[in-house]
Amino acid sequence: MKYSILLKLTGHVLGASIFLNIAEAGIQHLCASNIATTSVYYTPDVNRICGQSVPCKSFKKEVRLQGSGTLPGGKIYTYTGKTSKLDTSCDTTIGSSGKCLIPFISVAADMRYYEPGDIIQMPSLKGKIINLPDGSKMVHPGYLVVQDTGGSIRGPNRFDFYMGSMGLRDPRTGKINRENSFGYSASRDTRMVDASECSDSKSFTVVRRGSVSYETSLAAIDDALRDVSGNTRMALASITRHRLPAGFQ
Amino acid sequence: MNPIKVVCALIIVNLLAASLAFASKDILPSQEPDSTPVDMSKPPFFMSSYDTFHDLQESQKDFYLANILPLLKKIPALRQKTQKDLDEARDWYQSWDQIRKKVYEYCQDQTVQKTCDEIADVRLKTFDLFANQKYENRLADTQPVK
Repeated sequence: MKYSILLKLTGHVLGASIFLNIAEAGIQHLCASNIATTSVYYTPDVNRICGQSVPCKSFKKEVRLQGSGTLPGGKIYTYTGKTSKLDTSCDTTIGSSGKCLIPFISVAADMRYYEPGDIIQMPSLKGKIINLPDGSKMVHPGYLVVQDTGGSIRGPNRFDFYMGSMGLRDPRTGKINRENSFGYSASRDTRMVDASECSDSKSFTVVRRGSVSYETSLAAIDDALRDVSGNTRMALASITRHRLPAGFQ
Repeated sequence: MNPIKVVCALIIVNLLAASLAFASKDILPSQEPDSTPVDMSKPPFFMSSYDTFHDLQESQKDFYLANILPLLKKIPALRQKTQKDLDEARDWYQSWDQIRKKVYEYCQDQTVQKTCDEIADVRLKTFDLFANQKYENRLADTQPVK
């Protein structure tokens, strides 16, 4: 009798310790310093999910997971159930940089290591065709801009990629969204959904705001956004205000 | 003149010159560290640039300025700064840059790390006001930062 209790107790302790170790590993997992540990997030859109402007059950569920969602008229619906009005010039959402987030260009990073506006150069993305939420396509410039942050985004090589209103799955059917260029069905070079995937395609370098090569990188992003038809709001001005470094004015 | 004496004289002169150069290195303080400007574009980030600050939402700016003033008063070179000075810096990048430079210069001293950590923390909390609130982030916010 005593032995069986002891055995049970040992089993429980071992189980709990294994669970804690796995959980800990999951939280702390990071790729090597020059390889980005990536994940993705998006802003659910009520019309896209519910097919109407009134929040439905699926939309509310997605908002609880993603933190907020967009309603018509530039309004934001948050996970707390509150509604707030957005800057009318922004059709996605405002990031912690105070600027409007740009789908497939904006990333959330750890602000202990980055300033908003810093650019992440990821060569594997350059030239890849990206499907945007409105159905248009963008030739990715290979650059991303730090414009947001989040509590779970910790470490210099941890990035969360913003995808506008494009989710990973169809909220109605639950099927994988094959159109999502950063999602489960994406090519190895653009698949950013899996934080545990530490492939060379996620190698990156940082272009600091104000550095000499910063202007060139911004211009490349600007060119890519200008080439996207029907996305006139995605202009350079929405990325960052900046002054040229000394000697370049 | 005896060539041996010339060679000996040359050696002595050389030795004297070398010892003088060595001594001057020890005695004269090096000017290099002071003349190197602090690179504010790389971490650790204590205070954001004016451009970054300017991009923030108004509520973020209000939060930052309200919380940074008491901490700036702990820095001897900024002790005299008032709310009025900060209001001016809010709209004028030269005033902002002056304050920022003094903060970074002060924070090069490792012995004042506590104040500098507090200054850096206000910057982070300002960004957090508009941070993404997805489930993982909300969960992480309830756990201590490692």
